[in-house]
Amino acid sequence: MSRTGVEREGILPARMADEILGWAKPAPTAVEIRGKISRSLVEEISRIKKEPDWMRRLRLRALELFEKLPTPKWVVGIEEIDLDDLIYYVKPDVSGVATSWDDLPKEIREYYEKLGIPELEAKILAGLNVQFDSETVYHKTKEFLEKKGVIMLPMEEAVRKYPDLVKKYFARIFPPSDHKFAALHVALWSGGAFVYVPPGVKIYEPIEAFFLIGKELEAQFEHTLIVADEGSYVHFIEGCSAPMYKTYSFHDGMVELYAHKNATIKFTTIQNWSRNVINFNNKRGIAEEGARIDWIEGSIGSKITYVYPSTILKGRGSSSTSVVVQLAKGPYIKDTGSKMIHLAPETKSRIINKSISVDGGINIYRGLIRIPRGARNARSHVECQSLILDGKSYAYTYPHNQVEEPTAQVTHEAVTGRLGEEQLFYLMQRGLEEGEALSMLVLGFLDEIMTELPFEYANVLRRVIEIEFSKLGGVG
Amino acid sequence: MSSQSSAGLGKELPRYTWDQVKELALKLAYQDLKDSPVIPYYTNWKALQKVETIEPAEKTEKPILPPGISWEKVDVFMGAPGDYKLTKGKYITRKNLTYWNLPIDGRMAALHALKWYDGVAIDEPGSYMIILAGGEGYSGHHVEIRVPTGSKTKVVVLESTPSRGISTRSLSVSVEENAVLDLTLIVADKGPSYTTGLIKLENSASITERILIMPGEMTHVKLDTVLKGRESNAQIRASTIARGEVRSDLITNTLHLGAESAGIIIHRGVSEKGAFAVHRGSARITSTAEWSQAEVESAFMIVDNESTAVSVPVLEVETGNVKNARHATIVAPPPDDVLFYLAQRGLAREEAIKLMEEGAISIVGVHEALNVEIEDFYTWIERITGNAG
Repeated sequence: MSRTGVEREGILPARMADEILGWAKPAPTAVEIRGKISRSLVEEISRIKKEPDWMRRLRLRALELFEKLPTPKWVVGIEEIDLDDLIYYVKPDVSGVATSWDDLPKEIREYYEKLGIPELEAKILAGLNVQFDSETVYHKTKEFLEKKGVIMLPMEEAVRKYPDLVKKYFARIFPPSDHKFAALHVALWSGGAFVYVPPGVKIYEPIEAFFLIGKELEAQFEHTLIVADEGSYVHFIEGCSAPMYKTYSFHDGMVELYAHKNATIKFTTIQNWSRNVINFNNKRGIAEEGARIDWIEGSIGSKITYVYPSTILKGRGSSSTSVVVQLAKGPYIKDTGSKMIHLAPETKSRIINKSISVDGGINIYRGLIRIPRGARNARSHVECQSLILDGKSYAYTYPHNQVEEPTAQVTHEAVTGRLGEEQLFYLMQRGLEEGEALSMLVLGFLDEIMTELPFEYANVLRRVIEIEFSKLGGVG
Repeated sequence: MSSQSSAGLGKELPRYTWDQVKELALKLAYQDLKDSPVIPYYTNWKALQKVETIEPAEKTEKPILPPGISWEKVDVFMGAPGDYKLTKGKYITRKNLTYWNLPIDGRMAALHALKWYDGVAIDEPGSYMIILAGGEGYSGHHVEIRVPTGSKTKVVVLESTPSRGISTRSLSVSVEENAVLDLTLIVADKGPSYTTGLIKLENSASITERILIMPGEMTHVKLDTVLKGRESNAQIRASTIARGEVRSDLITNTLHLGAESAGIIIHRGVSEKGAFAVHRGSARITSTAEWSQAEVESAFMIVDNESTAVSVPVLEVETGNVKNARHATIVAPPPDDVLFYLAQRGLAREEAIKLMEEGAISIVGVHEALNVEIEDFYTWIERITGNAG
């Protein structure tokens, strides 16, 4: 137990966000913009951020697209969001971006302490960007990053300091024209991190950005852009959490990754939003020749999650993996999946998706493998495994495998099932309570994926599952 | 949850008045949800849209029959309006039907329900050979099959319009308790064609579906099999042989409503010479279908660099009490090791591919339903798909 009263696994608390953070508490706010999305609202955000004109114009172009594009029909539950009734920008009342936790107001600092972020930073991270509501409130990198020429900055600062570098990639990997919520994001983005890793530099200690939504009916639009130059390596962790609210909050983030020749980007997301957050996250990467992009996602919380990490395999011999483990426990929806677009010869992709539905939970996998003509000898393999633990939960799998290249190969397998009665019986015969046996079997099901997660987070996920499933004696 | 999933069928099966059908024909889009971000629509609805304005065919063009079917053996023949011949079954038109009992999941389904002109109803056990043909212009037919309790029926349906006319057809099938149906469907149209079917299986009923698609300009075939009864069983085997500038969208759905029901979909496809071929196979196990099993297996072979193959295997499971639910697909070129093996035995690449195609078709077993050798049947396919000589 820690001083916050929540059980810890090593340095991190091992519980769902609701239990770690409790109910939302008021935090000091300097600026709050709410109401109908309009040109003046977008210009006001741009003005507050003192942005260059090119960014203001980009926002306004995205706004026009947002107004024109239809609401996607395939997303279930999006109708709950009242776009005229959200707070689109919240600037916490802090004096600039802190580099010491002590400089943060107590109300804000406490959230991160409960989540174990300062300890995690001290122990394993090379850099940390912390966002509260719409702005970065804490940002710190270890000295060696600077020495190696790595740029890691809050997104706004990068826009001002490195306009040419940012402009080259920003909203170009995931253009706002893609869909309505991508356009909304680009029009209203605020916060997030920019990372540039110079040629040949390899950063094995992870860099993390942590996002927290402090208010109900707040919309958060952080933007993460990572550029790995030739032959470099970077591991970026994205964490997100929120306290409980009476209504809901909306998250519409964007992640853009660009891996230059022979570079590797590993992007890990640990999503532990409270069960009031509707989570839309737009994630896309481009891999040049010989480059590699790996997406790893542990999706625990949220009311509804829509996330489809995708990689455009642009260069010969590039590769990408997407590994997702998701838990839908209770009346919540996880609508996720991965897309791999093979545009060059000898490209490889692999998708592994494991989901657990219990207590009325709904898991949906939507996937796309696209191999157009010319992507000679491209290979892709997709595996989806779903566990349904009771009679009131659901699992859906919608993969699309589109191949135009005769030398390419796409294989796909999926299985949906329940835990074996015999296995459960066997474990219970050896003295385990039903809940313990159940969590042991679930962990066995997820074992392959746990090894892909950073050690600290794998431990947390393991413990969350143990705790959540030990409550479920009698299921199945 | 998806544009394809079980035709939007719920636990209540469709039943529309004709006024409702008319309203839907005006109100519905051809397809509401896009199929995917990069290929928005697997079916080229524009090719089929001509059905709104085209005049009915004036003259039937007789199709080339496969081995095992001769004109003497044909029990039901239907072509241009008024050109029909039945030695078995009962002739029907829309006037005979109080309700329309097939799914209306888009404008095309509603237009077909309003436009088809000749149909046949079969409710005596036995063996039936049905040919649905057409000509220049529109042709539309409807087939109703009822297999009474405890009986066995075998039906072969050949849908073939050799000209560039547009054809729409529907199959409404009911297999009652402990009854068995062996249904073969061969679709070989040159012009755009649309086929929809709903198959209902009561307690312990079983069906073997053998489906062979040789697409034309745009061939859309969608068969929904509803395993309504306890311990009902559906074995669905399908093959798409797409050659040349053709496009096909074959959708085989199983919807499990009955407990301990079992459904298997196996598809083998070939896409070559510029073809665009899609197979979508979905299995949905609802909460009432406890301890059911569903499998979808699809393999597509792409033979050259002008062709496209798309495989969409969908699994929707709404209960934890499931015996088995899985799917597996592969889209790949002819396997190198098989080509090498056959080359070692003196077969050129083209001959080896033919052999693999023959294998893909033989799994479906249409030739068995027609009591002919696979080689003879394959020769007919070569002729129909323009590969002969």
